[in-house]
Amino acid sequence: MAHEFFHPDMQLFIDHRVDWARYFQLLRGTEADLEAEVDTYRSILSTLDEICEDIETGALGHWHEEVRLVDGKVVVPPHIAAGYEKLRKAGLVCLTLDPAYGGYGLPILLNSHYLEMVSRADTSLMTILGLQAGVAGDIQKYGSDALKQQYLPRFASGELQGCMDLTEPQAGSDLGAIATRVTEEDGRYFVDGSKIFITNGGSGVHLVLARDGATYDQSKGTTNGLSLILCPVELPDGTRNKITVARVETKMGIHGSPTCAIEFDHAEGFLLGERGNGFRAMLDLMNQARIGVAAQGIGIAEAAFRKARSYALERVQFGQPIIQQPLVKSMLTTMALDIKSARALLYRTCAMIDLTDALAAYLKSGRDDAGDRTKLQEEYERNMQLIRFFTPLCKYIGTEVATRVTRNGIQIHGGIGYMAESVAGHYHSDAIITTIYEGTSEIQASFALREMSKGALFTALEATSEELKKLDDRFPEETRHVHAGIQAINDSLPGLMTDPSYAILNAKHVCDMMIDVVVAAELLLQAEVDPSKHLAATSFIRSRMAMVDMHAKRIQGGDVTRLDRYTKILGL
Amino acid sequence: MKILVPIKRVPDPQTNISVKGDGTGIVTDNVKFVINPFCEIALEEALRIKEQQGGAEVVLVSIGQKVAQEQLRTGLAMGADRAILVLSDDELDAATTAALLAKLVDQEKPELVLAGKQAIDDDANQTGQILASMLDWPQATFASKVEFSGDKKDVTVTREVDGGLETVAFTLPGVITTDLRLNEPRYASLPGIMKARKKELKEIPLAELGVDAKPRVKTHKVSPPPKRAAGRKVETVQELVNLLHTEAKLI
Repeated sequence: MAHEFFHPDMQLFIDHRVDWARYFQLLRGTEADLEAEVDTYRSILSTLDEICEDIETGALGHWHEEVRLVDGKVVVPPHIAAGYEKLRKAGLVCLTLDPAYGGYGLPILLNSHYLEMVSRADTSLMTILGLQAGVAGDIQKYGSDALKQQYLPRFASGELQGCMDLTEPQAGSDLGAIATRVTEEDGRYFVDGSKIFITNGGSGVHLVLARDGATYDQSKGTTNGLSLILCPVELPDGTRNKITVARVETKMGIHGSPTCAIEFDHAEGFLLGERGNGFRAMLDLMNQARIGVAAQGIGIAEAAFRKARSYALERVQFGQPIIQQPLVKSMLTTMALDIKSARALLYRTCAMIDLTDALAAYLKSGRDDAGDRTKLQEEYERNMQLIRFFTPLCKYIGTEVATRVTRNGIQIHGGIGYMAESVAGHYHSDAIITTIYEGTSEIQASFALREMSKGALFTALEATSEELKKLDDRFPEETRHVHAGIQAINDSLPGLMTDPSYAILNAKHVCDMMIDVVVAAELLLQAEVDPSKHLAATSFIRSRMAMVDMHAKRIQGGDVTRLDRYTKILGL
Repeated sequence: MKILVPIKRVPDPQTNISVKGDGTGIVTDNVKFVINPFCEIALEEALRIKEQQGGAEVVLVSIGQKVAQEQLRTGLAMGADRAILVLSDDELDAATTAALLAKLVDQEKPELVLAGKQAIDDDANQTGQILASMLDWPQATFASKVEFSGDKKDVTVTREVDGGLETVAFTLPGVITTDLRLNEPRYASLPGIMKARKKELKEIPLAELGVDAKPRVKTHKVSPPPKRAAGRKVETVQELVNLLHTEAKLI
């Protein structure tokens, strides 16, 4: 098996599942040379394919090396620095940034493929790169012209790195508890406070979420009154800002990724976006980061799956390779389908984000060569609703799949997988953080649930039913099962609506059900253009529609009193 | 200075190659193709010469099917200035390849041809040498170091030969073929990929070059190397030494 960092599923998606003609038509009008553009995308991913193979080789055996704090400076292990340098030299650090600032304005889909590939090669390195496009993107969207000119070209070249500073000891999932203060003094802004768990906290640029001093007491406990402040380590006049890396954490995995505690001691910063409205700007960054972490999860899962598959082919017990044992074969197949489904959801969500960005660009422009503006405006709004819904789902499933797949990767290796030097074990230790940072799986599920209750559920189910109807003739047996799955979801809704706490209690199940039917349709669409995908689609549908049915029945068969029983079981 | 760099499209050395059932060649379905690694080293060296000596031009040449465009585009993305593809559907032997390159040298008039020492598919290791003799140019093969004189008219080449290094020098024009340790090729960069789209890639049908391409070498059969036989366990070191001496005749 070739190394295939540029995975065949990515190729299939780029070749058949994106309407590039429409994308470029909306984005730039008719003059775009479609074939050349898409061919460039393939060249970029092919180059990355080679660089990632190199990065993976360089990282081998260095997994355990820790980030160090030397004289207040964050020092990453040599293989991380070397990997970053390889990508920087090839101009592959900030792919989505606007060409006006030295970027390449590449689609999110490409960026997500890029992050998945780097994550598979060295997921610690990915945590650094995964932030860059998001941080730069936030400066591009919310910064003043002067800030953009000052910082963005250096992000594009990879000379400067950024990080986002949200978490505080008392403000984890609940960002309303943020206590770091930003004070305005004669039009200048100063930040005081401490942040913890800051990924890549040794960066030159910190985007800090801090509470505005003017409304500090009134806004306390809410996400109102927060401002997003760009704090550079070196101020424009060349002096050092009062930002200190107080500590570098030692963690269970991603050892090569710096996780820092940061102190701001009246550090000067620059406002991004509106004062007191920083939470919005941070959400933009977070959404991009969530897509990135979904890709990261899939990358680790792919690495673990390949390792497990090749081990199972080699390891002989009872006179044959263990891959021939039905239970091992089934474990590996579940891993493969898990990865495939997380990919299907992520890729189609990315393609939808790209199309919607193009729609927004078209609607903003004065052009009228790409269709009726009123209709496109409606499409834009519908897509935005779906993106708000699917983004947390991508993060949820991509990272849950990562922990499951890497866990089974150890199981397939047996006792060897549990040894300290086992690569299978490393993958699992790295994967576990993905369901926690950038919002835990539970936070993702409750975000998705909130979007569902605002109408995204029906929009998504309707869109999926439409897709399925077009596939009915080609795959009657499969679509029948998925239609039934959609019906089961609909049937479970009245039970779910009885009480908000009961809905939250079932949020993950509802997410699983929704993901399964949306992915089922996507896999059939892929099988339509590539018959070799048919078996995987069928197998996925058979096993998952049974799960959908089970979840639906469980939701229907209960009510909020279930929570009371849990209280008693836990002895609360 | 103008440098001509011939590159060959070959199967990725990382790929597992299987031989066709009828022994006429290798299975090429689902096989990834790349620039021959030695050619890539030649290209890297040409690019470094270009960067050291401002104003040099690097021209890529490939001979083969239209799909070789992919490798030429990659070379352009790495930094070559333009590319020529001589279109041919037939398998060409080293003498024909050299004759075609000699024609292109007549047209392009480079001061230097920098080529890989051999292609990893047929391992012939002949094209550079035949080309030099056809042009009646000096040649330095298996280069592990290339240095130019101050006036850029002479070049000193360190060659890897059996048992050591040999240093030769000649006055341009000439042919250099590259060995593995000369350099480590760069990756195509994103800016490079973008720029490559606008660079010239000229296609020339083989017939237009007026070279007799009738094959002089015929491939009779391709077969995979024999499978390694299972090893044997011995009890003592003495026994091992004896067997290495009497049976394997290695010591």
